[in-house]
Amino acid sequence: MALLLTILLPLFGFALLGLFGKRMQEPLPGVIASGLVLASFLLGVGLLLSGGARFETEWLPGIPFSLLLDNLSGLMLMIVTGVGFLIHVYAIGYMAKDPGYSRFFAYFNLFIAMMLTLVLADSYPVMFIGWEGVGLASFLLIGFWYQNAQYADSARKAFIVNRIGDLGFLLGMAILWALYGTLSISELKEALEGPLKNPSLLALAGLLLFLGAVGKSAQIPLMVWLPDAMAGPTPVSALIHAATMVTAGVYLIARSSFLYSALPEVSYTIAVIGLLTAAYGALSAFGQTDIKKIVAYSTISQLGYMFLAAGVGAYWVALFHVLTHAFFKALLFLASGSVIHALGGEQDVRKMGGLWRHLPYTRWHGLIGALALGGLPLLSGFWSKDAILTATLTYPFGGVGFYVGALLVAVLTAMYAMRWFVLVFLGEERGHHHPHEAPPVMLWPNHLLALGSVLAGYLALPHPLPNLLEPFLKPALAEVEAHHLSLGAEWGLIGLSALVALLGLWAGYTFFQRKAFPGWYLAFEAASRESFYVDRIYNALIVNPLKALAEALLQGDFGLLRGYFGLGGSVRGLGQGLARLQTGYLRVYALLFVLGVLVLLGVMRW
Amino acid sequence: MTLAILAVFSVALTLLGFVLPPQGVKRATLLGLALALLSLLLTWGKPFAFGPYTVDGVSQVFTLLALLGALWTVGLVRSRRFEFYLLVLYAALGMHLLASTRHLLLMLVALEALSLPLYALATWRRGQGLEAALKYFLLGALAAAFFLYGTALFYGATGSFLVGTPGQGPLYALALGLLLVGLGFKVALAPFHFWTPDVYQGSPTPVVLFMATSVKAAAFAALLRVASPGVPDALSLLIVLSVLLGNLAALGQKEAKRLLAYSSIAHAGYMALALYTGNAQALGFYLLTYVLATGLAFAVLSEVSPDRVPLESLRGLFRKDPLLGLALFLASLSLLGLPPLAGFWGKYLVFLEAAKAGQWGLLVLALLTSAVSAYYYLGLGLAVFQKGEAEALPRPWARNVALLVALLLLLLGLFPGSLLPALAAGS
Repeated sequence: MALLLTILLPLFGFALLGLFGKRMQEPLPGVIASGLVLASFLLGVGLLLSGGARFETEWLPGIPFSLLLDNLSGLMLMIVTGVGFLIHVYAIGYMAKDPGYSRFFAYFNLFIAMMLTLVLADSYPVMFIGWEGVGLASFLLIGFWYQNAQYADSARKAFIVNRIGDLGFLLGMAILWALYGTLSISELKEALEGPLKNPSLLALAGLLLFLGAVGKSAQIPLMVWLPDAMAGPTPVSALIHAATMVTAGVYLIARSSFLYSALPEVSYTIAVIGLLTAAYGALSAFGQTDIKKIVAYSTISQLGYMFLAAGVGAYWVALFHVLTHAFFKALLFLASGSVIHALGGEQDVRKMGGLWRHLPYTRWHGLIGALALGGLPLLSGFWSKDAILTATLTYPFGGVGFYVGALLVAVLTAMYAMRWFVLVFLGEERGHHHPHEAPPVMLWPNHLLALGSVLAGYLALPHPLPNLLEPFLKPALAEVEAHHLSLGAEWGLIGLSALVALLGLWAGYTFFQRKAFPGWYLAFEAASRESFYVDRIYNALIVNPLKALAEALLQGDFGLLRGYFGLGGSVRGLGQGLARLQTGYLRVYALLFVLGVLVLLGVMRW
Repeated sequence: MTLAILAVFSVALTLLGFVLPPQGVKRATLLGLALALLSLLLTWGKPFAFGPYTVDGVSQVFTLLALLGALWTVGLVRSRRFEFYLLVLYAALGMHLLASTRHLLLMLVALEALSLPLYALATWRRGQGLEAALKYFLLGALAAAFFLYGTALFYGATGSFLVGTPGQGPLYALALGLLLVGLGFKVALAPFHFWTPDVYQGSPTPVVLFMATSVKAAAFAALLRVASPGVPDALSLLIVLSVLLGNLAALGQKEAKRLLAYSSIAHAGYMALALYTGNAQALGFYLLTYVLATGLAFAVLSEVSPDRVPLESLRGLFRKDPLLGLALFLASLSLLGLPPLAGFWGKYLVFLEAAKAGQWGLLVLALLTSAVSAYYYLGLGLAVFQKGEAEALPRPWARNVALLVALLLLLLGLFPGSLLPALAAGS
């Protein structure tokens, strides 16, 4: 019951603020929303410390409404409510004086409630409620400033692209149901322990579920919605489109690890898609000019890393990166938000620069975030990324190819992270603004997130240093045997990745301070700015043909309708003709009567 | 028992009518009908026979429906002359008798016993009613003649007056065909329907309610018996003509009672589908939903105007009196057979019977014409929501009954299974 309460608290906030928020004074809705999320966080942590919890009640026939708090969902719960709380507090300052202030916090609380449903679910249909719920909250918040048609379009794009993935989720559930007759995750876990019933069909189910994850986590080929999702207010980007919702796909894979660890081919596919997405996101980040879109593409890239880890079988490593990424990516977004706030709404990095002198706190937030993203040794991003790199070699579904690819992407990551930092904070001032530092209510969450970005990595240090996270998560994940590297090899690799990161950071730091760029780079940047024309290709290949088909169907429908009108008119005419038989003359009636009798007797079988 | 109650009340009230005030006769008639209904329910499912008078399941179900219609009619009418109530009572007696016998001669007597009062009732408003009633009477006499001829031939072919006696040969076929004509006239199957639109339009609305509900129920009971060993081939012709003519001719109607007259022809066609398997349960349920829905429609119309009701005069009824407007709306939707109203299940059950009998052609035709009927039923049902100046002076009693029946239509639509076992027990 207490477990259900963690979901009900923010849901209550949604109802309360949705109904009465308009009548409250400005900071009150934000304070209520933040307080409820904090309460949910404390309740969740308390339950986790007392050894987890379980909740089950009748729902659909054969499908109970079941929630489970184990270490895996507990970690996600802490990220969702913990980071969520900090971003709520930040939003109190960021959204100040917005006409939709209370509506914003109502949606925000709805999102937290739905995300908790997703995370705590112990059966796929319940998870699907949360899955769709966060999609809805995301849609509402991307289109928060719905008067802007472009923003509203972005919201719809996010929803529609996600629906493609959701279809996969639904079909995957259907196959699991057909195979095992249950959708409870705990029961499926037990059912899958023996030899597999129908491996090829099960692999299809795994692929379809992964398609759901691809949509939600913006992986290739469904990554096109996430950059556009930056239309929402910055706290939304930080909470939903960086720290929590987009990692739901990774969580789904980890939750279903018992399934994927039995399906090597599907796992291999996941790893390949993850690596490709990581490379695509990193390459696309170079050409972006919107401060938030750079970070958005970096999110796509980092999510690709997580899928790479999950694909090779290192589920706990994937979640480790989810954790560190939640801190430094939320920090980067909120720092971006502070910059946008400081410049009065300016988002174009070409009109920024030189903010190092003006923003005494935010500059440090930005620097820590960028360095953690770039993988500077000893920051959290370094440890988790290194864990992924090592995992590609030690886990059974990995390989050297993955390692090399991931290492190259790490170089790119370091470079574009520095590009972001250099363009925003260093160099000369290119805009005409009077920057002012953010208020304390926006600074303090960033202080805490910066602390997390530095320290979160120490939860899982490489062998032989202490690793707290792996044994913590182990019981909730599938057993995948990793072979251990020798101590020398392991630390040699760590040294290599540190060297590579430092090299990338230095290269980025110096390269992007140049006044003029070589021609090959400009050509690359132009392609990168358009995200390598993926949107245009989709429009040409899928969207426009579908629109044309819809248009044709509409025309056909009009034609049909005209036909039906004609048909209806003629039937009516026929009826009026028949009614004219009713002359009112008795002799006619009697004649027709007798004729009728004769016809009737004529058709009898004599 | 039921027969005795109806007979005693008929005889006694004929004498007492001269001393009692009309209102007293009305109350006594209601009492008699209610007692008859009660005795019917008390002996539900228990067969009883006395000579050619046999009370079985079919008799009970269809008598129940006929008595409901009679009660409703008497309740709606406030007549200054006591004969009105008596005529309804006589007709009810005839209906019970018609539903409760297999003997053709008794059937003929019963048929006349229910027809003659109806001819008189149809003239109740004089004027135009007189012309319609005369047509009704003359055509009715023609139909009765055919029925009598059929009876004679039946005896000739089988040596028995009891329907259901197996037989063969041209004489037998001819006999069945002529019996079908006689009863088809009463239930208004095309092409023996010509009286229906004129009489429905010309008669007082409560009388039309009586004709549309009770007469149909009683005559279908007899049809069920006549058609039970083997359906005459000509029945399919009657069904085709009825559903086509009824539905198509209704499309262009501008007057509510005339429209419902055509609708009743079409419904007779649908009901006849159940004769193929002789399933009294399906037919009984259909008739029940039809009695409730069409009765409700006529009851609402009689509150709007005792005379003609052009469709325009229904506009704005919902604003004027939401209960009556909604009741008419629900009634027409149920007649159309739209779920979740009772009419849907009636149609479903009857169509199922046609499918069981393998009458696929008829079934498809019935479905198609049923779709066509949506046009005029929606026109009737939605008229009440349009802007207009409808007049209505409903009496509280009529309003309460309308509310009750509308709720019944909804409840039966939502829980059709609650009543089917009772009907099955009866038949």
